[in-house]
Amino acid sequence: MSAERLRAACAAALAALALAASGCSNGSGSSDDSSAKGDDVSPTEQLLARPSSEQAATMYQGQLVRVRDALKKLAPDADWDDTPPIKTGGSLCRDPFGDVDGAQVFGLFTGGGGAIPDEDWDQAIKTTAAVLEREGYDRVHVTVNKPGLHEASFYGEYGNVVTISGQRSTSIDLADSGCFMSAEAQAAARSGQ
Amino acid sequence: MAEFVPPDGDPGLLRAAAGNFRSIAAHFDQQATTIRTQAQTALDTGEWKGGHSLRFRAGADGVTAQAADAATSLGSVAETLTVLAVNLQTTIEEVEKCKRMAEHAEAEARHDVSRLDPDSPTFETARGATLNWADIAYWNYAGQAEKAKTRYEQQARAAASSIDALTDRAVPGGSGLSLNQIAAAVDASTGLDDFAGVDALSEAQAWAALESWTDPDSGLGTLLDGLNVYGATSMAPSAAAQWWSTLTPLQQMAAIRTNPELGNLDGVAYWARDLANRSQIGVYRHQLEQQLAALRALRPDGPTRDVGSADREQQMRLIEDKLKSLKEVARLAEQPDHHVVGLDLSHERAQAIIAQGDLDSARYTSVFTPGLTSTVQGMQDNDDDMRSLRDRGARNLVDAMSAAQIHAAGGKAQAYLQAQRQVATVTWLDYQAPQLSSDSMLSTNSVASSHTAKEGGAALADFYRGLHQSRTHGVHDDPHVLAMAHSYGTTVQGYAARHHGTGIDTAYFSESPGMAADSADDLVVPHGQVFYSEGDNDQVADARQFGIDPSEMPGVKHLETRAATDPTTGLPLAGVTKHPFAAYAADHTTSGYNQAKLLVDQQEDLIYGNDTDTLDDLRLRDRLDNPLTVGIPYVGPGLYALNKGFEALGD
Repeated sequence: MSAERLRAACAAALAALALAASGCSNGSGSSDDSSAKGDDVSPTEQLLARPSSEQAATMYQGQLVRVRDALKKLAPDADWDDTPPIKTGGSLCRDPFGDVDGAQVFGLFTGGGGAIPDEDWDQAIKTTAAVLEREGYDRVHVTVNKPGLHEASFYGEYGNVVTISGQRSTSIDLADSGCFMSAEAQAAARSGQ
Repeated sequence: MAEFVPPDGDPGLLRAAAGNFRSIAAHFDQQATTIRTQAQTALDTGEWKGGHSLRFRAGADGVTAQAADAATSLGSVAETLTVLAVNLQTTIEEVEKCKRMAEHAEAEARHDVSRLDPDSPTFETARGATLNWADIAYWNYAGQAEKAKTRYEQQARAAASSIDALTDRAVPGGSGLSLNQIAAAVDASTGLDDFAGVDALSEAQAWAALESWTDPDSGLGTLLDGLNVYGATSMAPSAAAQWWSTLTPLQQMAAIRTNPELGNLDGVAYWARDLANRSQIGVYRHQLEQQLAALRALRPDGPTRDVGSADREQQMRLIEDKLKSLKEVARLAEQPDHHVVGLDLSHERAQAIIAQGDLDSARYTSVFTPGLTSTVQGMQDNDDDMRSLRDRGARNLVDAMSAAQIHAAGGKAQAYLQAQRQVATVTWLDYQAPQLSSDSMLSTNSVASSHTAKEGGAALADFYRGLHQSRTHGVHDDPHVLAMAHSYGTTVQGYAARHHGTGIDTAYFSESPGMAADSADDLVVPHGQVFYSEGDNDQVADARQFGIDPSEMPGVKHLETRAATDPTTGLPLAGVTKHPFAAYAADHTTSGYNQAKLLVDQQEDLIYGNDTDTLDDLRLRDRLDNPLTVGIPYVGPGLYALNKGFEALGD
């Protein structure tokens, strides 16, 4: 090998080491293995045991509307939305569900153009917790609760997270739905089983 | 289900009417040409002179202009009807789909209830909840169907108004006449009957043709196939944008159908590129599967390896990777508001460009270029980052609104939707990002070589030019463009930003091994609009493989990456300590916060910092201790020693 070629090879190795040591890929190296890690039930079977994404969307819409209705009673002047919560987008699921056909994560959003008064926020968090506890949410994290700024998140069984937050206006946010298969994909998977 | 009645009307009849109008327009266009030719022939004899000939010339000119004007107006009527037919078809399908979904939800609920145990203490609660879900679903789908119908009715009203105006322009009072009456009126107004011998044949032919044109199956499809829209895939973005803007909607649809390679032509509208690329996914998959099957058939039976087997296995691996890439593109394309605005399988690895939001109309747009080892089959991570960035950008816009503005928008959710429509993000992987295989490392595609970055940079510059030019020739104003890149992608973006005419408003680089520039002034970006982020202890930037470390680059503004406080909310933001872009783009990080502020041009809220890290400080100390090492790339203590070793090897 000539000195020039050796130098080129080493330069390549050096740069690659610097770049790869900490890894800057977009995830191409992520596993194609669709089996659930440490679980006997396959990812597809796990998602078949869940509601379809359409059912989940309806379920979450109902939850957000119930939270909104409860907060509306507490702070009727916050100019609340009166339409169904909107979808804020969607994406493919993460591992172990990354390779399941028709599986997706989505978000929902509703709120009010006005603010819940600062003095009512403790009660707002308790009220929301009470509504969501009945829906299977078992953990609450209050990120901040001080005059002019409030935020609390509620965590459910599918990795779903509802966040209520308020500053000048108020947001009720399903930031993460957890992973669900579409009804069509579920039907296809069941017929293929 | 009275809620799911489709709108009145028949797309087929609308298409047939469009065909008729178009045919009549073509007829009068032909009349105008005939009159012009015949009149000129008569005058060219030179034997007809004096006042009569002058009046004849003036009359012929007027008649010609009138026929041409009528043809143009009637052609526009045909286009309006065609678009309306597409809208009607779409609406009917949407209403039917909503109905199916509502029926499905009800059936599922009934099924679920039937499986509940009536003796269970939670029976009534579960039954109530299930039926409640179904009820909400039903009215949700009914609402969607109603919205679709309302939207179509608005389109139909606008179309009717437009058609009336156009028809009245062609024939005064024509909006109250039948098609045949319009044709007769135009004929009469041109005075064709007064020019005996000039138009007798064409008139007879025209009426015969009119009869045949009433067949709804004829016309549109033939017309589409007959349009000459080939040979347009190698234009410069400015030429492509100009060409595209001259096509009627009908011609644009024909262009996509006959020439799907337009999906990668910078300058063409992005809705069209998306449509063209989606149409090719199945085609490419079929071609690749055939190639793979052919290669598999060459495999000998048993464990023996034949001559050339290694090469064949390598080809098969590449095809399998492309199939995986296609699958990923198809999966991403199914996600809400996603668009495939680039898809190219002609290289060793697949290339793709995925947009979220409407690039044809969004006010704020970001284009992200990923780096080393990025592949299309691994695009999901970048896509997630871009979704999150778009969401934060939209929320920033809503947060800047007053309560009155939110109320005027129709509420908080509607305000968010409006804001989201103003923002689009793009993952641009339309280059052969270097990989870490041994073959790749020693090729011109190596991460250590600038060859790929230069080529990629030229392609990326064209993408930016296309974005700029398609808007310049389009309906909506030029967007605010944020160019974003990470790691090796920053080198690609650096080369792109050295080109003129890209329309980049702001450039953001993170963890760059070099921007192919020594100063921000080398980049064709507005002054003061080059921003840089470097996480602490992230060694890639310190490698300085492709230019000086951006931490030291003149004219670059340095953004904070360490933990900080959101100045607008007071909430804590986390610092960045890892190299992957996901770490820089994550929610609730200082870096992710800054990116979203740049995206929607809220630069007054940026958190600035000093992005020299521990290694930069070491290098500075090393320089002070040993002035001889100035100018030698510093890549960390161990790598530095190796680097010094190069000098001994010589060139």
